[in-house]
Order: sequence, then C-alpha cells, then structure tokens
Amino acid sequence: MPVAVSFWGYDLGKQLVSSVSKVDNNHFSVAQVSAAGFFSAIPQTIITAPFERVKVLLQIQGQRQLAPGEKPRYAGGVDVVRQLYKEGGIRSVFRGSAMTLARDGPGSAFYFATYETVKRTLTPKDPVTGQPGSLSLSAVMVAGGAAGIAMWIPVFPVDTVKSRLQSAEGRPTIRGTIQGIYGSGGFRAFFPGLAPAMARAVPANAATFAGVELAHKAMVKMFDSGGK
Amino acid sequence: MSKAKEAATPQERREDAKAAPTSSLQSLRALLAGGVGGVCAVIVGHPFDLVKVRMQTAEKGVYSGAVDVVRKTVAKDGLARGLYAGVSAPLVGVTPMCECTTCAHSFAFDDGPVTS
Repeated sequence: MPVAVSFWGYDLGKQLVSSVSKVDNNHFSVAQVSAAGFFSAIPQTIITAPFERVKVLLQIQGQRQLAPGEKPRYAGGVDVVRQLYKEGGIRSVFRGSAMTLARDGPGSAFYFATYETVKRTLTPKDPVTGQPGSLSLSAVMVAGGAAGIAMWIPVFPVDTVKSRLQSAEGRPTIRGTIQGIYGSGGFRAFFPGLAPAMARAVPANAATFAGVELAHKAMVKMFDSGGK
Repeated sequence: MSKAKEAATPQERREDAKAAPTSSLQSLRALLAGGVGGVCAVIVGHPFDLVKVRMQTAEKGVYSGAVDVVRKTVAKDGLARGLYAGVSAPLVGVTPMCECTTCAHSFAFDDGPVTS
C-alpha cells in the first residue's frame, strides 16, 4: 500500500535528518523538511516505479485508431507487465525508474518546502508563547494545493523525459530521449501538459482531505458508537 | 491529557490505561483513512494525469491543447474507457506522490491540531 510505504519512508527521512543535523524541539527547518521529503520518495519509488510504466502505456494506447477487428495491444495492467517482460525482461518492466526517482526526490522535497512555508505563514502565532497556534482546515488545504502546484515547476522536464521514455518503442536511452525532445521544439518542448498537471493539484488535494475525513468519520461510526 | 498525575481520579486513570493499546489501532485507522484519501485523489486526478501524459508523448500537431485532448478522448472512447484509461495502475500501486506525501505529512509532521 503506497500510503504505508510513504509513512515508512517519511519516518525514515525524519530520522535520517535528525541523526545528521540538529532539530530544535521537533521543529524541522525548511531545509530539513526538504531533505526528509527527498528521502521519503526513495522507498516509494522502488515500489511504484513499474506501475508508472504500466500506467503510461495504458493511458496512451487508446489514441490509436484500430483497424476493424483489431484488438488493443494491451488487455490490462497485468497483460502489460507480461508482454514487457516477454519482450525485454525485467529491465523493460522497470524502464524509467531512474527518471521516476529523479522526479519524485526533488519533487517531494519541493512539495514539503512549499507546504511547510505556506502552512507556517498561514498559521497564527500565539501572542503569549510565540508557538504556532491551531491550524485551520482551510490553511492545510491552501498549503496542500499550493505545494501540489509548485512541485511541478522544477521537475516537469524530468517528467516529460520519463513519459517519453516509458512510452517509446524499442530500447530508448535517456540521452537519446532528451535529444529527441529538444530537437522537436527546444526548451519549450519539455513542458507540454504543465497546465493540466497543475490544475490537477487543487481538486486532487481537496479529494484527499475529503476522503481522509470521511473515512475517519465512518470508522468512528462503525467502531466507536457501540460503547454508548 | 495535560492533567497532573496526582489530580487524576480513578476514572481518569482507567481511561489513561485504556489509551495505550488503542494507539496502534489509531495508527491503523490513520493508514486506512490515508488509503481512502489516496483513492479519492486518483479518481479525481486521473483524467488530468491522462491529459498530461498524452500531451507529453504525442507528436507535434496531434493536439492543439489540453481541452482538445479531453474532447478527442471522450469522443473516441467515452469517459470511463477514455479519460480513465490506465487508472488500475495507480489504484493498485501508484497513489501519486503528492497525495502520499500529504497524508504522511498531515499525520506525521503536524505541529498543531487540525480544526475544522
């Protein structure tokens, strides 16, 4: 389960950060948050990397106009893995994993840096103690949305290389893929799809919080009402 | 619970004792809730992701923009098989980065309680 993996990775990241640098009173600096975020992406990527390749191939296969009677190349996710393995072995199944890590490490670091900065800006400080006060749901939502948008800016070119690499026929190389993209339209050619990627952040972030909240409420209803 | 130990009534002490074994149950609940949140994010976010990937991988001139991708995709394969093509992969394994990190963050990193 990816969320479990992320928990574990994040904890690991935090422990690593506090073992190599000083954390005052459990208050992580933006740089420390970024480092922990970077580490959290590593175990997550190891688990999710082949799923990314499957996802990309299934997402683009519907574009082709099929001849009458012709079946789509892949019947589903398991079929993608089977065919990739048959044609190119485990290397093919895991193609693009390095790019996924190159995207998710810095992306996660940038995400947490933004999240933490926006959240702290929006959290009123207690005038007496100087400690951050309680956090409103809207502040968390704004911080999550902003982080989801900002995250894409530095890593989008990497993501484009990853999508191209994972969707290409044959045995493409990272260098060849980069040259191909640059040759097709220069620096700008690395940024198609940035708008939908950013547009995704706000509703997806809101849906996450709504889902978490609803699940918590449902579990309270299911397990806690019996004792009344 | 910030009450001093000596001020605790027997009733409160019993509640304290009960709280310890439930904390692992609490983290299991947080995990489950995080999973539900991740699934919700995939359901809402997948069409955006599909549009992004198609724009990134299409040859020049195939699509004029994001809206064009949506229009052509829905016209050809409809909503479920068009915009949600490939959704099984993230549902099984890839709950995307920002959702994972959001959940992990809100449970592991908060320095203040979240109030609604």
